Amino acid sequence: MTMRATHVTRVLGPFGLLLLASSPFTLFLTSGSVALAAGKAVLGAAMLAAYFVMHRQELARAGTRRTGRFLASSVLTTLAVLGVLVALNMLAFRKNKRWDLTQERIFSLAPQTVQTLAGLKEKAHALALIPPTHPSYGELEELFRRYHEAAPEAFDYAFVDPRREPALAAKYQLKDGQTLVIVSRGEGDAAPHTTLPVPAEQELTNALLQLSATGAQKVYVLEGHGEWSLEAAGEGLTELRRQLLREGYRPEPLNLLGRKEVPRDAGLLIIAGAKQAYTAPEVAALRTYLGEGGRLLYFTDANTDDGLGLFLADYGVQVDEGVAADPQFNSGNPFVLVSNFYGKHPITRPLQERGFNIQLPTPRSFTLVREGFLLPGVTVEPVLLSSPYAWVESRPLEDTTPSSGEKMGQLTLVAAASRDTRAAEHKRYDEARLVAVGDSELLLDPNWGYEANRNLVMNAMGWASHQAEKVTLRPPDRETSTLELGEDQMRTLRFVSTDLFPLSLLGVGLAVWLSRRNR
Amino acid sequence: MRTALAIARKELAVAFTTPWAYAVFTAMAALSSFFFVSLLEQFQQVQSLARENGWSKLPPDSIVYRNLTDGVVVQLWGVVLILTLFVAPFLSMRLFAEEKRQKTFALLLTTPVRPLDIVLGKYLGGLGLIFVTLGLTLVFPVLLSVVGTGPSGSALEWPTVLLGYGAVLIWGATCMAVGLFISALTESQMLAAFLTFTVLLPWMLLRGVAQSTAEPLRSFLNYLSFDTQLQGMIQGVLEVQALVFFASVILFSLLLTHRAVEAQRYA
Repeated sequence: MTMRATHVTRVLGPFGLLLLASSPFTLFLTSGSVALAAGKAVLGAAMLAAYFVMHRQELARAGTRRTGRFLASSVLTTLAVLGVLVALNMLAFRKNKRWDLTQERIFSLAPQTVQTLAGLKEKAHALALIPPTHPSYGELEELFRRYHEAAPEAFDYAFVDPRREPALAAKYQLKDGQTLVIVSRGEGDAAPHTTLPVPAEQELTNALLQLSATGAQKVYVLEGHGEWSLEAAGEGLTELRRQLLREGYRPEPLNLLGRKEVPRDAGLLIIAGAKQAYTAPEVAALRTYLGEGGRLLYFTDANTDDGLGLFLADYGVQVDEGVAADPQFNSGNPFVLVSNFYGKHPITRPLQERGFNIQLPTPRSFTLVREGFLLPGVTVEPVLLSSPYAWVESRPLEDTTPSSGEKMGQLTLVAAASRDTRAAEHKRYDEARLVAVGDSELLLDPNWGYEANRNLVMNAMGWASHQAEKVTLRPPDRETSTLELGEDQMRTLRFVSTDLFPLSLLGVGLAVWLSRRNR
Repeated sequence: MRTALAIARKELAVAFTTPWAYAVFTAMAALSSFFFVSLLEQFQQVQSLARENGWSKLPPDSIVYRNLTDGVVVQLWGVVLILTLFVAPFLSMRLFAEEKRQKTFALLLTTPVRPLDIVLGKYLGGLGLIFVTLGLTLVFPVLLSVVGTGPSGSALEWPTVLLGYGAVLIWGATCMAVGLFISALTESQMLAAFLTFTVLLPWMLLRGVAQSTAEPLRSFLNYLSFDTQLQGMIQGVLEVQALVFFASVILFSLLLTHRAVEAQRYA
């Protein structure tokens, strides 16, 4: 009976060790259950302890023998070497050096990116809200790693699984399956930041440039014609102001009355829902401003006349009279349009990727003119459109259906125009940029919480205000090489590779075997 | 070291005068050439489609076929890495297990040879064998460089090709080190081969497991994965961390082998 008990207890030791050693696998790889892993670890430890107690005399005797000493020295040496190797690997991981030996340096950052990283004055931090199972996770991680290796002091990154951090996901209004990368300049919650969908090198570098540049960007919000005010609480733009400050812009009100020109330090100009007409000298100042490569965000509303029609027409944007209406794509009222019809424009790419619907109450629509009155060098494109079922209702108070004479079909609700101004006198930037939005109410504090609209506005602001610093990076690729093998050449190659080559080796082997047999 | 080299020479002499090594060489050559020809045909097909319709009309993942190095050699090295996983255990299983089965291992231990020399000698012998086996695959890029053309003269990007080949060799050396240790634990060659494969395969595929885990475990598992460490090298990126990692696995395996051999004296 004692013998049998000893046999059982001998098994306890190895089994205990096995259970203890495999418990991390249970926790991290197989079941993920803390209770199971802890259960295994506790049981394993108990079995080991029982083994040591039952065999303490034997173990003590073994400790004095040569084998015991050998065992102890082996365990110690192995652990010591393992410790050194782990330390070396940690060092190699942290201070990794890499050499891209490809001809076109296709796995290296572009020189513009390296230059941007070198020019960063404050530390930039990228936070990726992306589940580990997302197909782009590995690629993004590799991209961030390259940035970090190129500038360990200036660029840092972290990954967060939005499913495990619902509070963070909710802060950025991420739906299940959506991803977001937040690039911020400096530390803390109040640090200026910008958001991107999963970016490639070009977008990430441009985001860093944008963050560096916004510190110096002054955004003037025009006043004097009933525009929404930056300061007024409630029906004002205080939330927009806060967001601008957070992203590193410096918003200030500006009245053009009595001025001949827009201040030279203007990074961007915003017209937020003017209700009275601009005077002729003011329009002239705006015209000069855009002619010199200025940047303007224009928000208008139905049933207003701000006197800027001819000025906008210079840039291919004609403001339609009446209210845009849509019988199908609305939020229960034909004048409250909901749209996911995006133009092919950089402003809308992130919106499309996140599957956002833009909602515009009583918007005005635009007609884009690509020929005729517009200034030379102007290109104009739709950014957001209505559905094809929409129309421009000229008498919204009396009628909610399309009548004859009213413009019908897909309407442009947001448009973007640009003009080459490299040759301009007193040039501000190489290109003038104008974004026209058919609804200004989306800027107001009560509406600013709507994520999709806010993204549309901020993306438009980003597009309009940063063209000078944007970089275009070449898509990395190897040089093209060709191989045109004729039928005969291919046959010969196939014969040499799959037939002659292995058979010769087999022949040599056969010869060796036969000669050894006959010896 | 001289003793170790003598043991290595003996190992190689035995291997090259017995037919089993040639069987392994032939199998490696036949399998890799089969994959080489398939990759080459695929490359030609996509290139001819691109000539007719333009690259923009092809699916985005066809982009690797623009270049012979990416389209054939990088992918061939990927295949050779997998083949090595199967071939290396067959080469390493004999190193100690065969001696134990034939009862010559006890004799070796009684000679005035240090266990370190035995381990190093056996490892160098095994290394010679795996390097010859993998060396056969260099025939394919050489063949390609003869028949292919590129705008800058050479059809292949040789730095990438050779670095990829270096990755294949490092991988072979790692497999042999792990196989050597397992061979030192048993006298059954089949068991040694099977266990080596059982250890190497999941280790190779650790990256797949890492995909579903969160940070920091993900980074840890990714780092430990053979596959992750080899991917960069076969595509043309040399990293210090990969070299340190493989050197560590090899060193640690040799240390364990040394302790296992030494333990035989106390058995």
